[in-house]
Amino acid sequence: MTWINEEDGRVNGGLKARWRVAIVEDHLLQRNRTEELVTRGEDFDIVFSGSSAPEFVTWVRAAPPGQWPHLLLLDLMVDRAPSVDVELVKALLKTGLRIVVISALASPPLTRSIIRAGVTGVVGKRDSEEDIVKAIRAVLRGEDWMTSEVASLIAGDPDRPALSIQEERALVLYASGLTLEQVATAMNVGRETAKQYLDRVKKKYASAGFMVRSKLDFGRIAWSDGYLDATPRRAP
Amino acid sequence: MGEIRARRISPAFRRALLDPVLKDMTPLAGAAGRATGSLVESVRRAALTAAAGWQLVMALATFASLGLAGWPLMAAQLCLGAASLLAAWRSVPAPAIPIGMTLVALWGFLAGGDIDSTVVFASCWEMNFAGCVAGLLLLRRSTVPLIILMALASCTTMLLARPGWGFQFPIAVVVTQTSIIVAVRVGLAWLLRLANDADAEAAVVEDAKRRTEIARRKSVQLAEETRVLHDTAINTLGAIANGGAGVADQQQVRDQCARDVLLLSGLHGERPFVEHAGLRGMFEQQRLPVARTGLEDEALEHLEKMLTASVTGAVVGCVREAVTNAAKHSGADLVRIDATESDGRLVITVQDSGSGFAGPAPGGRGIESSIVRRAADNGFQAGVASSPGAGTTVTLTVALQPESAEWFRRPVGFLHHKTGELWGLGVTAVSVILTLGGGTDHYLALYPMIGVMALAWFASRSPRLRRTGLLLHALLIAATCAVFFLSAAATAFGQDGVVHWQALAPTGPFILLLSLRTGRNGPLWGAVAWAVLVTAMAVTIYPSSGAGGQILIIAACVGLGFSAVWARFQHLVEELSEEASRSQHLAFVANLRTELATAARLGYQRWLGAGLESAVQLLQEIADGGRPAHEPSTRERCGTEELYLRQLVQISPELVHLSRALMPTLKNARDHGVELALRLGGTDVADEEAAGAVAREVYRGISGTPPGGALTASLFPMGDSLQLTLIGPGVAPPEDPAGPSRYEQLGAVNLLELRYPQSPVMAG
Repeated sequence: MTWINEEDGRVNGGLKARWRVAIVEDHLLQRNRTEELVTRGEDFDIVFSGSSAPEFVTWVRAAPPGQWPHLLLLDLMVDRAPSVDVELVKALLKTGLRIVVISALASPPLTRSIIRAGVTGVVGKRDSEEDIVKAIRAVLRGEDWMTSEVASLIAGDPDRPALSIQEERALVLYASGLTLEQVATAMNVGRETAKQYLDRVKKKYASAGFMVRSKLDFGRIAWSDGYLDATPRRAP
Repeated sequence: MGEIRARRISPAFRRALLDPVLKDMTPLAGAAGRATGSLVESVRRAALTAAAGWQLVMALATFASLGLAGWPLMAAQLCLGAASLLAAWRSVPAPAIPIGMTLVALWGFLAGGDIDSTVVFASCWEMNFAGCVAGLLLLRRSTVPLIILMALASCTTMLLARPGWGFQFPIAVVVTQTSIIVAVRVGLAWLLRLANDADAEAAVVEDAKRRTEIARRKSVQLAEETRVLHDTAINTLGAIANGGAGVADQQQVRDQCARDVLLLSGLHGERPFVEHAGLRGMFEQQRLPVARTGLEDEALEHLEKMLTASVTGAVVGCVREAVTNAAKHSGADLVRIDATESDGRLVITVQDSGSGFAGPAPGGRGIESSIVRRAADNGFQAGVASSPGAGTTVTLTVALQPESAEWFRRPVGFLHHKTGELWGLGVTAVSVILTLGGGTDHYLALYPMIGVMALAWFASRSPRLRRTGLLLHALLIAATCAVFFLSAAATAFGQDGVVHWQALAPTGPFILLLSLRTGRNGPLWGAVAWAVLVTAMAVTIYPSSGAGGQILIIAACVGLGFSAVWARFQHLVEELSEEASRSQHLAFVANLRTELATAARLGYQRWLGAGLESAVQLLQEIADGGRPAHEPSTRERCGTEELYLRQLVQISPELVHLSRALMPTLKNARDHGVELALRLGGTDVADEEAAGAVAREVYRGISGTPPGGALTASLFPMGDSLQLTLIGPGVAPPEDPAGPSRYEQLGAVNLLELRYPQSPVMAG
């Protein structure tokens, strides 16, 4: 079993782990800024930085396994070209690659489909640097990262799963911009209880997404390359 | 001055009464559509099943009159019954059954010998029903002469084979057959038109649904394409606002901004062409510049709802033709199109100041075929006025309540009442003719019978009696029984001159009773009373005259059976009318949705265009070097623009009510320096009123927030409604909430929650 120290990034109490990170971002200025953010983290190595998902897949097919990234920072929309293919994201996740979507979040339907595909980390490009780095680390730990804006995508999904009254209220308040503490105050409950409501919402939404996912025929995705052979990634 | 006028000539009575007799009805029956198809099939099966049932009655009547000696006739009747049943479910040549029935009837006349026998009486009605079945199954124009020829042939055969029966009976057969075929065709044509209308409405619904779906998909596609295209500007503005490595290389930033400006300016110029399928299409002219006056787009859209799609298309076609003519022949460099509404009419004038012409319109200009005839075909007027040197004016006058509001679209109750009245009057008139023609009239019973029929008819028209309901029901039931009794008395209760028995006479008051439509109990009690009377009379007569009793029962079967068929058709009409009405409602709703979706899409494009302008201007300033990207003021401004543009594209144009009402609030917030975060899901509010109420609350929140302050407004489903949540330091308690509300102060911010009804249609 692998566990990572959140403070210093060491694996199983041993040497500090180094995480290989790939960046897919078509916008030059944004890519510069993302690269800067990642390199600030001492335990991150950028192994790929390119402008499109197909470019990334081509690179990874040719790269030796030792170069394969643990995490992909992915922008969803590409200028004057088709946006990121949700099927590809699903296939990448199935291999064990962790993905953080870093996006302007301009398209709620596309972002929702990405969350439903199983991406657990979604951040906005205007989020603070601290939040973005926290999101990356949370996803590497296998945790969800939910911002108020992402909660608003779930709250506004016409096909969201059925929620209890309390869960629905916590979600709507959080999605409307209240902090967790303010949500708890507004609902006359403790902070932990409010957090539990939100956790349950995430779980329900993710399981609804998983149910959709499990019906898909992954076989029809024509990836024969070893990287997409559904072998889970392992922590270094 | 040359002037051409066209008027529509379409008398309703000609279509209702003459066309069914003179014209082929197969086009009416062959019209595509579920209602027409099911009507034709159900009429065919009902007629053939009834014909089969009647053959059983015929066989019993034959046995009663002739005993076993009549077995060949009985066999023929039963074979014909079997063939009718087979024809109801399998394809058998349609004319075979009515022709067979006529031949069997003739055989019955000849085999019966005695004019007062049961089999002759039943054969009379066999012949009548043969006419009915022919009228229902054979829809070609040749059916009417065919039936009359068959009746004449039967008449001649009887005169030659049974000279002792005299002239009156054979001639009555011809008159009755002619009346039956005319009445059946008129009634069937009416039903078919009703079914055609229901199908046309259903087709409109399908078309409207298809257009709604197209509008929805267009909205989705537009939103997604726009989001992708705007993503670059949002990214650039966001990168500059974030600062750091993103803006470290000033030249790189300027290059990116210049590239974005080029891309977005191109996008802004590429406003998608919106094709107006409606009246607004008449102003989209390629050939000549148009000076437009009169009604605005919204007014035209409103009027368009009162016109059918074909009329709208014809109006646009006429206007385009007029402009084409002006471009080709007048030498004018401008055409004026004016649209006005007055006295329930839409008046459109197309005027050029070109060369004009004198006298009739010169050939080859398309005025006659493309304007005048097209107008006449679509039920509106087209006038062309011209004189040399003074240009040409084409005037289109379109009634906004066109004649296409068919008479049969009136409420079903009214139709039943009218048809019932018509039948009551018609059957009374036939009784008068038959009586005056010398029909058998024992005890002079026919005169009081006609009196009772007339009395029932007048009573059914009395508004006072109609209001009382019960009294009129009782009166008509009594009249039905009295008429049956008197019609029986006129033939000495089935013992003399039975072929003259006016067995349909009681249906006069009974169908008036059916047409009251104030409940099923009246007709039910009427039928029970009639049946009880028949039973009582048959039981009384049978000991003295077995044949009389049998004929009495057959006569009752004729009247009651006819009434049952009438009731069945009434039910069919109701179903068809309800279907048409339902379709009309659905079409209205679907059209409304399409209009809203189109309006929302146009508004969305307009707002995005406006939102983009300030972003493009800012990017241009940075690209030109006028605004250094790393300066705090530039970064702040970019942050504001980024937020504004991102929120604009996040609003789905599928939210037809909310998008129109809330997009302006973003601009309002930006103008007031309020950082508004607007979060909308994929669910719309129920109507424009609710959207307006939501917008008012958001405006109130903005005005209460000091410049530089933040306000979050979200609208998400909560239970069965949509909840507006306003969060910010300037959020005030609700003033006059229409629904449930909650206000709370949470330290630095205030929370206001309000509920609104949500739309049943969800955006994707």
